[in-house]
Amino acid sequence: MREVKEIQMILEDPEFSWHILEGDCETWLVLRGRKRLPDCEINGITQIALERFDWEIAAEAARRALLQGELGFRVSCGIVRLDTLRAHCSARAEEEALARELMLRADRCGFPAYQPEACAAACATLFADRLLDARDIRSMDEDESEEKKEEESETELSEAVVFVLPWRAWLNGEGERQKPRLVKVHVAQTGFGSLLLEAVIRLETRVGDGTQIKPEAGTCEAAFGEKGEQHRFLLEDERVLGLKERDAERIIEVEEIVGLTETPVYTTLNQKQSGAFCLLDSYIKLGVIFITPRKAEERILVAGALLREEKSLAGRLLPPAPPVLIGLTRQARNIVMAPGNKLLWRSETICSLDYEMHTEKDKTEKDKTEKNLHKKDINKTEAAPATSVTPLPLLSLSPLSRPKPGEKYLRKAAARKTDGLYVISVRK
Amino acid sequence: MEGATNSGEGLPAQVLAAYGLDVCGGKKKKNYRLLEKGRESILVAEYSAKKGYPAQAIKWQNYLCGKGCGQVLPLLKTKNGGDLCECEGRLFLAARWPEGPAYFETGFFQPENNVQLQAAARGLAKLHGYDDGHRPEDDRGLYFFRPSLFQDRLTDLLACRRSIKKNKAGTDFERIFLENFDSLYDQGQAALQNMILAGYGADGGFPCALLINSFTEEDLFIHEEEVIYLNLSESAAGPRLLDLALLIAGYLPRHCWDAELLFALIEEYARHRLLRAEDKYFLLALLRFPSRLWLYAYQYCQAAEDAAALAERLKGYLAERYWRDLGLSVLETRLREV
Repeated sequence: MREVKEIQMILEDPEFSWHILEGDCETWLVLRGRKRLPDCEINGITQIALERFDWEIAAEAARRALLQGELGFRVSCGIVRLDTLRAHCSARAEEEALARELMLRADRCGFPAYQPEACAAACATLFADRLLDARDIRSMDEDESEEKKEEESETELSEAVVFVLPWRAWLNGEGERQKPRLVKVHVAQTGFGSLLLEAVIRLETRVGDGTQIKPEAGTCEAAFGEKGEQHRFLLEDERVLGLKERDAERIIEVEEIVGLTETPVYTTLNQKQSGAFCLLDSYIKLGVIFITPRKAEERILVAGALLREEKSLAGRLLPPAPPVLIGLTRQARNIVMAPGNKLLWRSETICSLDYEMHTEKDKTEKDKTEKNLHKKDINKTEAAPATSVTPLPLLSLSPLSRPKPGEKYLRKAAARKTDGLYVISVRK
Repeated sequence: MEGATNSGEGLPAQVLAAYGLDVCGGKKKKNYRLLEKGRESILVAEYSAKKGYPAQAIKWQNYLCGKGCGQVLPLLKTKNGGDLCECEGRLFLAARWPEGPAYFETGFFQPENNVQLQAAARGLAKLHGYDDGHRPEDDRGLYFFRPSLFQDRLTDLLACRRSIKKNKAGTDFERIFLENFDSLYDQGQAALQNMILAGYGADGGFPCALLINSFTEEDLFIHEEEVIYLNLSESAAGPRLLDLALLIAGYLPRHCWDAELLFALIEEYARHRLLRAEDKYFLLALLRFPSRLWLYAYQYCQAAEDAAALAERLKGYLAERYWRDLGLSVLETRLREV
């Protein structure tokens, strides 16, 4: 049975007014807004209607675009005005007396320490909490006719709270840019008269199927044509992801996974000169956007982790020179909920190593260039502009043999060694 | 309020003997029994011996009665000449009832009645007026008021908030507490500042007296349109206005903090006992202090009370606070004009 590694994801604190989870070819945005209704108590959420969803491309760069827009919701909720709450103004004489008694004598017994386990035992909330899929949210036009009917039937006071949530985020990756899509909306009463709205938007760039990878611009095949050679491997990985809060040991429960992002951070290949043994070492920033079952608070949360993938490519017949480019293309990925409040992440990645292949003619030219290169000042070589076209000889340089640590001194010591005696020179 | 029950039962024979009573029938309400002895009616009050009845309170009651104060009942002496009788872990005090037995059912204080509320404020002022010659003795158990204590209570609230925030609000009580903390805390700070500005500083330079400190409906009795304070067992020492503040904070919520009534109560008190401008501001500060928020936080942290029930009480407090702030702001404006 294959061993599945477990790693801990760290929960990010919910950010206002938006929380961005950026990945390769997709960006998730959690927009958050809070409203406090003055002098009234919220008594249920009756309707959530989408008022507007505008967006535009604000700027475009080589491989990414800055999108911005505004999302507007109208949340209707039942309210009870405080000036009608006379019933609450009942007998308080005993409580006032007790408060006085305890307040002025508490220096003798002290204020009790907060006990999170005991206090949080009753987690059930009486506050309203609604979580909707995008398809369940009505637009304003649909909503108006319905509302008129309700206004006729209901005599209770209701208040329409308007949330306008502006946003702006980068979308990485090349390909066909998709229209920003509203995925989830969560509205909750978080206090006596407070409302919280969370909305998830997905920005996406659609790329071709991972199984048919075409040489991208800048790859070895594109640059060298026939001279390029690409080696591809399918890498499989599976991890169990645990979730916990940053400063607390509390385990976070997951009700639903909304999205997953993966961003390659760093990839390197440790290759033996013979090419017989290769170790692919890569770091991936993983982000998960999920929904917790805890109501009346921020429920759409983001957790992240930095994954290290070490894959041995032993036994592959690879060219002895290091590859010019290392490409990782996610073929398939999946994240599912696992028992014990854990997530199971599976991925299949195609690793492509692009090599530059040399003909005999190239080799003689290369030798000449190498000789010339040794004569050149190293600083000058380094100062060459980064955009200069393919410094071919440099790329094909075989790794220099390094002396062993302390070899020079060991050699000197060996030369001084005579008949088992060491010569010690003392300087004054 | 519960009705009186026909029961003189449960009263130990030693108590009857100690007071020379040979009757057993009578009426009972809360911890009070009205026993009939010929044409006379005797009120017997029962207290827990564990909690005790402060000796100073008895001394004070005797002093007030000696001065002719009609706001307390003169205590009956036991056969041994004592003021109280201890029996079976209970303490008993007896006093002569000034009205007929029928009045025992209807004569108790009704806080919904504005006239009776004003009578309570008037009675308090009269009682405080008799008090000038009687200073509390140096009994540390009775001295409790220090403005710094209010500061400590605000610190308790801050610590509680920090703990709740750290552990993430998990209950409705915690959510409401955090939602309203800032405004209530600011009111507490302003109240504390006003106390100091009114001269009630940490140096204790304020007039200190014995306080009744308990105004539950069953402990107040109306006799000839005046209020009689039956229970002095909770008495403590401090600025006299603490008593008036407790009376107002206890019963004005039932009147939705009616600014007119609030002003009338203060005026009624001031008619019989001088209130300086500083005293009025001190009273305002006491009324504004979020003492019930502190009480609920205390009970919540103790985990002795159901969190959901406490959340409901906190909601009630916030609703009441709306009326309180309205009433107090009107009062403050009028105090400035005066």
